[in-house]
Amino acid sequence: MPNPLHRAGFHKPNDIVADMRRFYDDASARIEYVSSGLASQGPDPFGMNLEQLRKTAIAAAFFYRYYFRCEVTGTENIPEGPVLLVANHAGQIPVDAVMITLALLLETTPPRLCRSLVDRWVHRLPFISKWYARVGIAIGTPENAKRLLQLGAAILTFPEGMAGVQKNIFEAYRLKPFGSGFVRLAMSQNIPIVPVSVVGSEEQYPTLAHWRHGMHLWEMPPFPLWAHMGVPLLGILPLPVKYRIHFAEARCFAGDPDDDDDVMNRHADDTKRCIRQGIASLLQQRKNAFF
Amino acid sequence: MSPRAKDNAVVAICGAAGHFGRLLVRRLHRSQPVVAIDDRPFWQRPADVAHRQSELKSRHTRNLFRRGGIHTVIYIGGCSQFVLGDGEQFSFAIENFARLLEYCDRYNVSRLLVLSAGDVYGARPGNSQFLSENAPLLAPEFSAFRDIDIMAQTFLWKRPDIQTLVLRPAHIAGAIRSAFVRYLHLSPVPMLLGYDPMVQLIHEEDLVDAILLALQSGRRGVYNVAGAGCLPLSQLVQMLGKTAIQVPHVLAKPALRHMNKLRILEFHPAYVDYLRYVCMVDDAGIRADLGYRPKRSLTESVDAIQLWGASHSGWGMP
Repeated sequence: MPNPLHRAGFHKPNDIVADMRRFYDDASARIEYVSSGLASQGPDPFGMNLEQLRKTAIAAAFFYRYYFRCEVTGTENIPEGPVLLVANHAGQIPVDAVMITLALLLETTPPRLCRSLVDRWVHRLPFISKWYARVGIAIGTPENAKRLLQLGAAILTFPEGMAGVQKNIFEAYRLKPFGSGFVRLAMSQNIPIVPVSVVGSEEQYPTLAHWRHGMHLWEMPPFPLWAHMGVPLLGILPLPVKYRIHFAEARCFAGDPDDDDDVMNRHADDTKRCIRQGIASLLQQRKNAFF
Repeated sequence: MSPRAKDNAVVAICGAAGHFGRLLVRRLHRSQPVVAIDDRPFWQRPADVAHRQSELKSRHTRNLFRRGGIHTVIYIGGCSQFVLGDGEQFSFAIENFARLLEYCDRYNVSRLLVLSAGDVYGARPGNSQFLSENAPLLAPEFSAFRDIDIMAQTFLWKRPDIQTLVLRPAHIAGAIRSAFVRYLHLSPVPMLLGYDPMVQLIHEEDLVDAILLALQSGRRGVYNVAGAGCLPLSQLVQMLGKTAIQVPHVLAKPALRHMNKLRILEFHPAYVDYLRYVCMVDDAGIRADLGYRPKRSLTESVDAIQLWGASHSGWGMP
């Protein structure tokens, strides 16, 4: 099993290169560990390609460490076996999903691969739909979630859905209503839910408004208009905000998965409250969005 | 089915003269009397198999049923009907099948097995990776097999005393003329730029096993059936040693529409969706209820497609 990820700080220019080299070695070993475990299970029914996953994870790991400088707490709260990770969603593009996935891959012992569930319209997009499938992301249907959980996977879901990811900067850290599907899923499969609070994603694309006209013709959601989009070349990159992720204590909801919406909504609100508390705590710790 | 106990119980196979029909006839005729019903000539027919060369709705076929003795009917016409885009052909298939149901209803048929297709669920962006038997049938409207499937299900509830089974197989791998196999034998194989859905195959021999198993089980209902594993379409094309040509999906449908009109290629434009979105079946039901297990590997299924041979490759009309 790989050692815990190298986390030495660096102060001199030479240290940066050495640090990056060590980070690459550590991250590669962890990804290799996960890949070999998955390879032993045979071909993935969702079309995940381990080689493509490895390349993507290595590239994203550098963003995780050196661009977004992700800080993770509470990994000890993630139980072994199938688990449902429920997080707040923001930032126009799902960088938060990538960061949470990498947190499980790089910060937990043993490293784990987390499978994300995405909205149905994503499969209409050329290239993206193909790439998502190759790196292990699946369409967010209850059947897919059940199948993944039966394979023993950790699943990441965002109950705010598209409403969450499309928030503009004026609504930052105000959570949208949670759907209750994840509670029913966890109850039916008898698996724990881990609330995940993410801070940083709201400011990566400080969005002022959305362009809605004509987007339906392309079967696309409204297009975000973010503050730095006019900057040549760099305008398409998210801002180098500092990501903070906290995994709260796992909770199990007992009961009938076919119970009334009121009961399910109570459990969903309970999870939402826990995520909100986590966000408030993380916001207190930071000086600003970048540090 | 215990073959010796029902020696006189005749099995009628509708669509027996095709490749898959012949395969089924060869497996059945040694244990049971078999009648092949097909308006096509039946080459290499076993000597003990009677062949009624007529349409299902003709009086000759009705007379065959009227005389009695037909215990089991297997309808395998549905597995290659995706290519039917023409309105006349469509209504022809539906009318024939409706008449077959009428014969089963009136002339003491005890068992009816309808071979539908996994494509009946339709390829849609919101599809789950594996679709269970309860998923809605959202195949395009022109596809005759969807209507045939629905008619068979209606019959299943209308006549609870008849053992009616509907099998929905994944893409059949073999020397058959199904739309998918014909698509794979185009050269180069057109794929949609930026899309690469997962596909499922079932070896033709595995499907014959599943049909026999379903008939023997005494159960009624609807079952998906698939082979071992699944793979991305691009990998399948690669394994077949074919070259793929990438076509933007916005151009694919209009291009196919025009090629269809000019009779260059006989594929309905809606087939493009099956090259864009996933449409795979969940065969947990047949595995749990009937104990079905595919015996052939994915590689053997791919090899079975190659058997169709280079002689059928090209962009001309099949």
